[in-house]
Amino acid sequence: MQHYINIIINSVFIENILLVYFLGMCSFLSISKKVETSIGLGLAVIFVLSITAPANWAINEYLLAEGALDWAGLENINLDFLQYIVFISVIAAMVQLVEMVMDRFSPVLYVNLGIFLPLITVNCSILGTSLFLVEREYNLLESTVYGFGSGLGFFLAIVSLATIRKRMRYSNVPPTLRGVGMSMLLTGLISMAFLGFSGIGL
Amino acid sequence: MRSDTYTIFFTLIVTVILGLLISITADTLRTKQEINEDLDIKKNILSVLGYSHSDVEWTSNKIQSIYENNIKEIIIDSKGNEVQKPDLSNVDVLKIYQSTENGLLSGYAIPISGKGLWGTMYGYFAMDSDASTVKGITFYKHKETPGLGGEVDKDWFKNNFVGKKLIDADGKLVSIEVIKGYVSNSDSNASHKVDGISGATITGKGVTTFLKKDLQKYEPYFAKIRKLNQIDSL
Amino acid sequence: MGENPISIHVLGICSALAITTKIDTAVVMTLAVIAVLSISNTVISLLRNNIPNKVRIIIQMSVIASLVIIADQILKAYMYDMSKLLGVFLGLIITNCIVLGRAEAFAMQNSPGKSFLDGLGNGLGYGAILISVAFFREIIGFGSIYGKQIITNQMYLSGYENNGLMILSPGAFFILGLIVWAHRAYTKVLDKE
Repeated sequence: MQHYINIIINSVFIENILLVYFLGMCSFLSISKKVETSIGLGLAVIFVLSITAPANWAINEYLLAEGALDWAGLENINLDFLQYIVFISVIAAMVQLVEMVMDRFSPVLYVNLGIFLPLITVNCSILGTSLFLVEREYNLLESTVYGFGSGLGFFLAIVSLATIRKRMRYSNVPPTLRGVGMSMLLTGLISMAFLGFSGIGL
Repeated sequence: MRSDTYTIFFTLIVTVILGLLISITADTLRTKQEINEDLDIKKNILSVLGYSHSDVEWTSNKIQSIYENNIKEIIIDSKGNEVQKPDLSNVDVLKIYQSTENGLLSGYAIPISGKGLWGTMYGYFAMDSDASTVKGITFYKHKETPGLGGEVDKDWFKNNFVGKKLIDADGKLVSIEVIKGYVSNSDSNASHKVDGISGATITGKGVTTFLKKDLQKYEPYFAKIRKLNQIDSL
Repeated sequence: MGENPISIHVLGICSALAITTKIDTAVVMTLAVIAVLSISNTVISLLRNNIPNKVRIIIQMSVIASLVIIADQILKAYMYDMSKLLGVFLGLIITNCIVLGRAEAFAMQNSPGKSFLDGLGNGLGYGAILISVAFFREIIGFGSIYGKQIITNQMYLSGYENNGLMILSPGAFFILGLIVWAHRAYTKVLDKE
């Protein structure tokens, strides 16, 4: 049990996929202007990650990795070079699914998120999480927990930045620094704050 | 407006072409990639056992020849007995790399791995032919932060291990501890400790833990070696 | 270069920031991106009149993903140590905003020749920022440039210390923010003249 809690603490605070690995920034910077949309996007990412992480793990384990196909008697085939393309296809399919579900159950949120929902597909953090869990050789439960934790970390980072940016509107930011420049500096400060967690004795 | 048949047809063709391209590339390059991986491992084993490449350039041929001439792979089981026809798919077998120099046994290297701060660290650990003095340590794969935990692969850290002792006065395995700060010369246990990396305590603790765990796995075999050496020297 | 391109480029490098601790990794990554971007743009442009609209994005992504896989395989075979350093970040070129963005915005509407050049240009712009970030991180964080030690032992002894923060993630964010600021200020000055 402790091990899985450690994975979550690790992926939210110490190895935050956005603040430490820089993944997921593209949509993050454009959407973090409004806190509500950030929360919506963050939750969608948590959901997508929690599904795609175990799905991609299973596909890698039973189809792609070296010796994975020995249940079909083809243990000499190594398809791991197909990882990138298979993972991204699975992610695209899952996001499509989420879109349809969201449209059915919460049309308001669907409209608000607009273009950003399909953009989750190309969000580096989703593909990154799947690739990391393969690299770290996690098992199924670890992968699912890691996917969830990774999404949680992304959620935390994106909502923090959105709330800070909301406050920044009342500050005197130099005109040339406004927008992307300021967001970068802010993210750097948040990232620095999170660095303080790296001393946690897990 | 294109028909659905066209869409399916088009997608199919594109998939087949792309799939062929990727597969052909992967297949033709696979042998070269495997050679690279193999050479990488051999290079690491050679360097941890003290073969230096500062004077001679290590081309792939050189690495292969030094390895073939001097390194012998031994497979043992968990009880420390040498296994003659190893079933390598059995995960309980352990690998030892025995090095000889000019015909004389010069050392042993074992693979080590375990959790660092950011992820699993992989390396090799080498000891002298007496199976109790450290010959070297390397880390060929880790995800530690450069400048902090990443210092484990720097010469200053690795050199501190050379000459340290694995067993205490009673012959018991105590392994090497990566401490916090500097090892004091007046410490009676100094031969079992190395200086830590500032700012990378967790990495250091991780190394201490998995080094001990891995050495314990091999202890049945090496304890026998030490006993034989004792008998020999009598 | 106006305001938008640099912001887009800044977003596009997000997936590669992790490898900007040294210049050599940034250079290899840039070369990979230029290769993938120009070839994918060209291929998509060649197919642009034949791609069914429904599967447009998927086809684009498949082409890009395939090119990245091929690049990855080549790297693993011929530059093994570098491929270990780049790790999964090479694969993340697939999700690079610039690559997909240019495919959709430019290659789908323009000739192969122009698309190739567009890919090349954007790749170079990407590289400029990526290598700039890597330059600052390496010199301030390690005291070296492209592996060659610049800060001498003398300077270390007199009290100079490498800035560890540069090597960690906040350093990259700060450098990026400052680069964007500097660039905006520069173009504003140009505009005024």
